[in-house]
Amino acid sequence: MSGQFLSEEQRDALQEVLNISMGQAADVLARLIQTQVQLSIPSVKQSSRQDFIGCLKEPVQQHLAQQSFLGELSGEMISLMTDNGNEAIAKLMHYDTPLPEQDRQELLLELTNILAGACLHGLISQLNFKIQLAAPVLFNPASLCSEQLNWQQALLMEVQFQIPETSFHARILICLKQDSLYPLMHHLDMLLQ
Amino acid sequence: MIDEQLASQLIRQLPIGACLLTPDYTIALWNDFFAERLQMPVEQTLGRNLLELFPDQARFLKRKLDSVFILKNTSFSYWEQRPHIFQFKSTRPVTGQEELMYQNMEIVPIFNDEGQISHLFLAITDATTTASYSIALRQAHSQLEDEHKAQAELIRKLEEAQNQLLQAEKMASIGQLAAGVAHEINNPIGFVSSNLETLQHYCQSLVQALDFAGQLLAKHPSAELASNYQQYKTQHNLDFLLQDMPELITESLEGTGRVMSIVKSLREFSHVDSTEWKETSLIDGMESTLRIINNELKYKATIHKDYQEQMPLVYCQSMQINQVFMNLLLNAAQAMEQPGDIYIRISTAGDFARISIRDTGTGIAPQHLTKVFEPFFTTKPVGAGTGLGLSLSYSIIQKHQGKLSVTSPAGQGAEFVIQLPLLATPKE
Repeated sequence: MSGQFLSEEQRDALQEVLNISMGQAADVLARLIQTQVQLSIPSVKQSSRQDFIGCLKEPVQQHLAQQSFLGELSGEMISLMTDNGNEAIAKLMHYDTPLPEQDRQELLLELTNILAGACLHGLISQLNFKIQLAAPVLFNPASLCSEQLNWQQALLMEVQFQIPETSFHARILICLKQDSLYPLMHHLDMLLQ
Repeated sequence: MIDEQLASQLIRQLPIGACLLTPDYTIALWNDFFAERLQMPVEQTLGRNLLELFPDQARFLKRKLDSVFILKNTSFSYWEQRPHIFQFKSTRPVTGQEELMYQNMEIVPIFNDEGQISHLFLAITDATTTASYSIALRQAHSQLEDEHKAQAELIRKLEEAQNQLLQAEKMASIGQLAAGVAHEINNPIGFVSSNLETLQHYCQSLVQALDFAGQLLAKHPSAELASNYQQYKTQHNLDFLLQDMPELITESLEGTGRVMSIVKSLREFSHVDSTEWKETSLIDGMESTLRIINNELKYKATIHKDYQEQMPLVYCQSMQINQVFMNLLLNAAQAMEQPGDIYIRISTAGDFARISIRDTGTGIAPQHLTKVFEPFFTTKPVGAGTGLGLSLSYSIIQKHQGKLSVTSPAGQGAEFVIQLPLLATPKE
């Protein structure tokens, strides 16, 4: 499947929705950890399988977690974090440092749930979707190869979080397959009318 | 429609732990799953503060509940990271090995009509079966990995053993070659040496004869004859020649002496008669070994010898014992990072001959002391040592009904002590 998923207007609308929802996400996050949080401008792009895998298998030593959502809109979110600033964020989250391995994993899952949850929450509340979140799980992309994926193109929405004064940095990807796009386009069109 | 009674019965009997909290952590609902498994009936918990009831988990629970409250999103906890939030007894008391139930937890926000969070719903699901399978799988995996490592190690040892065999074969051929060469050299060096000795006598006589001739000429009336002789002497540098000739011969004799001693050592060392049991002087054996490996030792260590006088002979396989001396001395030299000292002491101790070889090298780590005599144990870099030298030495000394022991006080190098029975009988 080739060609563009979204029309230019739909893409602009989605971008706008994302901008607003990420702003809200940053706001609640800042309240939760009582610290200022910086966000990148969210990006929306269409991705091939190779690009998608390439983006997960970056050479940097990073940890990944995956969280599914289902309901009127279904897809997956993937969080990518390094160990940088791990201790700093752990302190903000009231964990005891240094982190034992189990706590490090728990923190990764917790952060995934919080960041991904916050992003998605903004998105779906503006577009009026009802969804359910599944538990986040640790994810190892090493065994992932493009032949195993049963899709050609997907829509990736990406936002990056940073906490000033620490080296903490996280990327959140919201991934939608083509069949999940129709409800999204439908809701975007309603928004555009 | 479901009436309230049915709903509450349904909740009570849910096959998951269900607990409803108000935003100030007060328990508003506590179903049977919680009540029965924790032995905490509803009347004991309703209206109580959850964090106060479970002080051990209070910090974790508060963090979770607060994040749900602020983010208005469901929060999760997974058995892998936090297996036992509540001390539920295992659901498999008969067939399972686990004491406590593995749990997954979800905390879901409940909204009122104004969109505010009115309650937090805490749900616990039993993950014991999954967890135990997953843990068993992981254990099996790590066991497989260990076995794989052990196999790899075994293969490495086999390779080393093969290398060692090849090396041994090579050494054996070199030994035979050395013995052959030594034999071949022995004859010519024998007559060269004896001829040189004869030449030394001839030379002395010749010098005396020339001296005598000089004296006679000096007394002769014809001054011309004396001056001719003097002129000839000066022209041909005869004085120097006469002075240097005996020295040359002496040096050559020393040289042949050294060649002969090396040949002797080589013959002694080659395995031609290595299994022969005989009355042996340990001191001679040590000296012969030292000569052989002189090149290995001379830049690394100063040798200090302390031999007991009138050391009795020991009935042993001398070549094998020399092999042990060589292994220990080479190890001592290899233990030196900087030039150091090797102290050799040969004495009697009771019914035993005692040979001690002590070095000032890096010593042996305490955890390695019990292993140094094991075959294939080596701390040398791959390829530098076979790990067989000491185990071979150990078995040789055992065959002699003796003892080989080692001590290594921290920071003081290592001392190997060989004890050989003085009254040994040959052992087949």
